[in-house]
Amino acid sequence: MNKAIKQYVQVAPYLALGFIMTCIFVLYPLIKGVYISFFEYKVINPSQSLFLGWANYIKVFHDPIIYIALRNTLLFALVTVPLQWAFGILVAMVINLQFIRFKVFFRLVYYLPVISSWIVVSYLFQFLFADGSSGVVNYLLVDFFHLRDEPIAWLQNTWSANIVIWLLSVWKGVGWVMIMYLAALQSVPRSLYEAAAIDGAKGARTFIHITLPLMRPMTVYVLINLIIGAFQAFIQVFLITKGGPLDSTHLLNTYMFKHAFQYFDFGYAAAISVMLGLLIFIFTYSQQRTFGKDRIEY
Amino acid sequence: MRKLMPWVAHLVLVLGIVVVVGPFVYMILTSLTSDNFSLPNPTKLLNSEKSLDNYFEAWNKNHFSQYFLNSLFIAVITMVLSLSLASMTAYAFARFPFPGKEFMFRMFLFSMFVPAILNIIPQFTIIKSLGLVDTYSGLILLYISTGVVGSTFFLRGFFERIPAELEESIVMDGGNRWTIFRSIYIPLSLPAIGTLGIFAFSGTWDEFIVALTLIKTESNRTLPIALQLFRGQYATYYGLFFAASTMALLPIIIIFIIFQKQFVNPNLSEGGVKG
Amino acid sequence: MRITKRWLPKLLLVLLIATVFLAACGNNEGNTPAAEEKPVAAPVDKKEVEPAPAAEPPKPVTVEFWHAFGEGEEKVLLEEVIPKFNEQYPHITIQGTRMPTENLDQQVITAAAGGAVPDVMRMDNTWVPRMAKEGVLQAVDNFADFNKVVADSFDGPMATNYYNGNYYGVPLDTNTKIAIYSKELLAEAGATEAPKTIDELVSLARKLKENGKFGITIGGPDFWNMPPWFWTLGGTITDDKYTVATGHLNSEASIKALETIVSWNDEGLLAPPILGGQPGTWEGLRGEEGKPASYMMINDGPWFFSILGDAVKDTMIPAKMPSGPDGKSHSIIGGQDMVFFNGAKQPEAAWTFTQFMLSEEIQVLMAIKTGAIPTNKNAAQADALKDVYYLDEYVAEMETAMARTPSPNANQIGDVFGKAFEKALRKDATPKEALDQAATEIDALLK
Repeated sequence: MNKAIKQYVQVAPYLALGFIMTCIFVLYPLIKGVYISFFEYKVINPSQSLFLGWANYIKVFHDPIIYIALRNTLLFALVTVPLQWAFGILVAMVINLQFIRFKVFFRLVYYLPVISSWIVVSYLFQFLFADGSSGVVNYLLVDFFHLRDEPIAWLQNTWSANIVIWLLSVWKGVGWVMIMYLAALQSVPRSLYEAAAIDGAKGARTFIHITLPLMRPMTVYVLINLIIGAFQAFIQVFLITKGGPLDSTHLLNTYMFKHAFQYFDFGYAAAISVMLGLLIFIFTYSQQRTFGKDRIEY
Repeated sequence: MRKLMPWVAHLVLVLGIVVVVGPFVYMILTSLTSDNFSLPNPTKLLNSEKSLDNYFEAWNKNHFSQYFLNSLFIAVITMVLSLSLASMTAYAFARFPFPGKEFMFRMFLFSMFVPAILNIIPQFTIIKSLGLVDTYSGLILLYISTGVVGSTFFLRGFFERIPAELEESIVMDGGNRWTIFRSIYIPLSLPAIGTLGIFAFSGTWDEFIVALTLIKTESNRTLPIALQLFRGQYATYYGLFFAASTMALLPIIIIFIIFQKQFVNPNLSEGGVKG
Repeated sequence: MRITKRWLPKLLLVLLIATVFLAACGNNEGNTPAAEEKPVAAPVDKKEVEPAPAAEPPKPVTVEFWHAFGEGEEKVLLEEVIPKFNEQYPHITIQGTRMPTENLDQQVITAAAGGAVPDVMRMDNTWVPRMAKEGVLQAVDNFADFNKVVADSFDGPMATNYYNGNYYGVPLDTNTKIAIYSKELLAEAGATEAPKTIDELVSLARKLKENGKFGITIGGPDFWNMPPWFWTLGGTITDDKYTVATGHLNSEASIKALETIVSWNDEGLLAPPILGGQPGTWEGLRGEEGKPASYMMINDGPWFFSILGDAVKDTMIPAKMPSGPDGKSHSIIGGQDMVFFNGAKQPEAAWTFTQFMLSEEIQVLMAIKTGAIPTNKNAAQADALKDVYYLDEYVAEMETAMARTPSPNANQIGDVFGKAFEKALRKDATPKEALDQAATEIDALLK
């Protein structure tokens, strides 16, 4: 017992502030959110909220738009996560090749979309993919490369709108994956490669048997972050399509926002939020056990 | 074939750059053309006169310059405070044993899974009860609090990878935890901290929902709100809007260029152990 | 140097906490209520009748006013309207805050939930019942001279403020959509002036179709673009009291109206935007670089003219929408109301300001400078308005325009409506099926 108290005392100066702030501003609202999900919540006069038990959750299962949002969310993850990962690791590997020059320059440029403001790039893509032949993408498709006869009404139709959103998300995320892998690739000690060369290993074998396995912890980390990021995507859909046309491009996140702030149905929105959290938890569960245990022993 | 490889590789990278940078190029081109309500189409864009007029106009419109400076102030302070807090908290998790540590960490982690969008209402109520509505302190407090978990998670991994043997030399000299933290962990994690700094800055720079909710006095507003104000209810002045957007992108790019040297430093851990 | 570094984190900690407390203290000082009570010397035993004491100068107050005016409109507000107001009421300061239109409802509800509301707001009139139901707004029926304001305002816009027995605001400005015709394409269809009836319009459209152009443009199946056509063709959505949709939305007349629209689409008379096609309404009407105009007409509000200005003055004709089976056209009412918040600190002063904004002089001023159609009946008939060449038609259209269903569930109702019409147009359901289902859903939403 004394040992425990001693340990707490020792760690307190470092831990206390972060812990308190997280509890107040993150954990408390989350718990409140779960609480709200059981009510028809009146945000102005909470005392007038109506207790509903599981009703909101049951409603989630019967809501046809939830399934559309779920479909969109899952597709979003299925499309953007592999693409970001694949392009990111590819670019990282190419840049890392010994004979590449201007490494710093390439790193910088590929990272630009990552640090750009979501607001700016969302509106930018909305502009690029504008309807009619004035939109650049349409112009390229129709007038320049002559791939199509008619311009595409990108944002007016469900699937073309989804494609715009996916393209934006992949475009914006590739640089981050690249940076992560560059760091991992460059932290492999040169001595390992030298030792392998002495043993007679050549390019591809070195890659498969040394580089890839050493990348595994980074891959786990990157994938988890990509998946969490994909499931929590919000701003690009919110700004570009607002879930339209007619609710067909909603993600679970944006749909929840709509119920909260357009319909003022906070209880239902909270229920969706909880279920989305559980969904993310389940999807990343298998990867979780490797958290913090990824120290590499050379 | 071997001789071709460098060329092919470089070519691939350059093509990639076209895709990556293309949208920005188009944005800047649009911002250089004269104001227009309908979309300027590509031919018109290439052929029209270029001028920096939109930039001057945007800087002076919609309180843009003021909101820009406000955002700069808030983002820098948030970044500094956020990094300090995150590194301390990460150090706590990485190197201090205490009961319930992993459970607490998992709790933190779990909070990253659940969407945080609805939290704005309870958060606003708390900030109000602290009397911090319409203040930068309240805004920064909220930004730091919501960012702690992610940053801590990121840094903890880095700290744990630093070999514990390095601490022995300090301990033998009579130093305490703080000295160890200050002279070993921070310097060796500078790349990670640098990366985190950029994310903290850009996350704050870009945030508008909380900023709009918390800040009521117009002169205290932040940059994203100014950008929103450029978009009209019925039509948008694209040239102006993109000039404003380009100016909004500059600080983050500058910060990145400054910090990017920190990014990858391959021989750190080797040198530390062998020495 | 070791010593310095040792207290660095603690210093930061202290700084952080200090900032929090300083700010909190600072704010509290600002929030302390201002005026002290001045003791009034009251002679207790005076029996003589004294002349009534001169009125005390009114205490200076500040009214917080939220709006989403565009930049040009805000300029008029700040440079002309507010100074004029202050000439009459120097003790009332109007603190206007311009809010971005994006995400505005979230801002309002969050401010209300956190108890940080303004006094009065210029709010989109379809939001009012929803905000009233949630407890964000306070009723204004008992404000001084309220009945006079009701009498002076157009009925349609006034009705948008009604919820559950009370009025929660008053209409400030309104707008509607009329038909805007391209002179060039009208001529191509063989007409010299705008068609007066739907039948005329359809025959012009048929002629244009042979040239591959479109005579009728409906901007989409949604709740803003579709109703003017639906109503003009004889459709209705609910009963007069907005209580039930079944029997109205799926009445014979309504089904026939939707069938007509679907048949137009099948015949190829409707321009592409109806289902999200190219080009957009403005581009199709005016033509783009390298592409000639292909739409003979569109529907839009007065902002079309105020934004495009001289570019369209000589090429476009504003006209009332063509009339339908009942000899009239029924366009859609948009616009903003001035609403009052629960917990407002200065409701009386805010009401004074509102009445000022509703006065004939200011209504005419805003109409001329910003294209906002007055909700004040006298202002709408003012001569000055006639000088703005397009406002006439809008005011005329207002007389028979109809409001969307006022309801706290207006957003949901709009979504149901839009989806039903889209389904019918895409042939995923017959008009009758689509409207039957929509009516049932809307009934539930109207409870």
